[in-house]
Amino acid sequence: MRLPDSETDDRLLRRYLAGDGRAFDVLMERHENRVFAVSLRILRDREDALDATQETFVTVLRKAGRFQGRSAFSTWLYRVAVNTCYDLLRKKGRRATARLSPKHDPPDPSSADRLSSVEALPAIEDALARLPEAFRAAVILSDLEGLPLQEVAGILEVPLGTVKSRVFRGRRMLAAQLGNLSGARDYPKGNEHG
Amino acid sequence: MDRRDRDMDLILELAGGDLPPAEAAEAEQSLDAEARGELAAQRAARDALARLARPTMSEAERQRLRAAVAAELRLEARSRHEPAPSRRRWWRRPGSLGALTGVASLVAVVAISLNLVGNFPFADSGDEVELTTAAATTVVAQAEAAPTTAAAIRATAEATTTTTITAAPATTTPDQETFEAAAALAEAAQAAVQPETLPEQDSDLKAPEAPPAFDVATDRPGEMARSLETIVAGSVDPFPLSELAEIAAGEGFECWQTVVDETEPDGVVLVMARGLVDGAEAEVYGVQGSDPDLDLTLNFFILPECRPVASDQ
Repeated sequence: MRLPDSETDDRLLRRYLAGDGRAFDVLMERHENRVFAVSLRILRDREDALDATQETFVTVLRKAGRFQGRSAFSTWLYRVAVNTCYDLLRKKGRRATARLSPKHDPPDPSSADRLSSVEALPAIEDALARLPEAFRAAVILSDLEGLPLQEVAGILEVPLGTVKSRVFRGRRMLAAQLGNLSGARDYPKGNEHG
Repeated sequence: MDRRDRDMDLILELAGGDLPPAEAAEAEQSLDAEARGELAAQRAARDALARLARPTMSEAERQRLRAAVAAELRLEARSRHEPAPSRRRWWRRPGSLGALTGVASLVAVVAISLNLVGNFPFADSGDEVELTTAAATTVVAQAEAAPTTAAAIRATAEATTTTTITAAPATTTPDQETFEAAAALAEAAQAAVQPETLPEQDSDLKAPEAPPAFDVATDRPGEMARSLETIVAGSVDPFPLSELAEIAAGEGFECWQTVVDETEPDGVVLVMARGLVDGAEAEVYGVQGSDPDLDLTLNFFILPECRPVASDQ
């Protein structure tokens, strides 16, 4: 019997715990892309991101019985994903700043709006990778994954005010780093200490 | 909430397009020049990020992922339907110390073998981690299925060992020294199956120097408190104090020894960061003791001599 796509995450989880393994397949299908995207943004390495994605779902699978539903399933899932990525970074003793794509030539200085040129994309990736981890995770979840700040706070297990501060300061640092790509705007540059 | 916080909230709402147009226009008019500059920066960053495509898995990667998780799903389903082992303190029954020693020996021998296998050159580190992870899962499955008599364990160990390793032989002597040795062996075996830390990268792949996680002044306690909230809120995943030496040394921290010396051994590290105190390079460590009623202790140390500054308790 095919499970309806409209079933909520919580209901699917309950079905899985009741013994329906297909329910977990649906959950995974629903969330695997986002978990992978978040992992790759944090880890900046494709194989590591795949490992982290696998580890995330395995962890959720094993701990499903202990999930108490105080937060949304997706919040818990992405919390596990972020923590798994941090754990992997720590074990590898490094910060993820490698490029996602091969090195590009510098942006074309004659382009009227350099930020909109294709050449600027690696620079945007690099600027994101250079953010402090705490800021980067908040910006990834908020601006790249489109999650509400309240949910980001739940995922990162920090107060809403802290998430707002991290997103605000992360974006400010990004803008400062990208400022030299656009001659049209004068971004504020200042003390960007974490 | 002070004016800066109110402005930040408003700027975030305006940058996110969260306000109705008329209200947004009026609010934007009320901003001073500095706030408008901040708003422009927020919008520029969002616009830039919006241009990045979301990474996706290839179909082959997706199938690989699902196969791996499906395998775990089957393992998990099987373990959930098997009766849970008795949680009685079986190791206190007569004769069971020998079984514990035998199990510890099996885990240690197989784990040490896996660790050696893991040191063989592979095409890339991803394979190494996969092998270690898969093998560790196999070790767990084998340990769970392992018989509990010492003689049977010895037979199993001889059958599964792939490398000649000198390990503690199984013994049936039920004395305290043997028990402690077995526990230490099991602990070493557990440590041996952890993925190894990658060697240091070449200098051209090293990450650029990270901005300081905190920049505080001891004569501005208000700012210090706000910075502490940021530090405490999300520095590291908790790990036992016993691992601080390895982790801190691996990440180039210098003052960890003082923390180890002065903190109860069963503490958990929640915070470990670099920053500035009174303009000087410093490190901060936050350790939670075993008493849940005690607050997190934050300890700052100014480099290079690791001079302690203040603790928050």
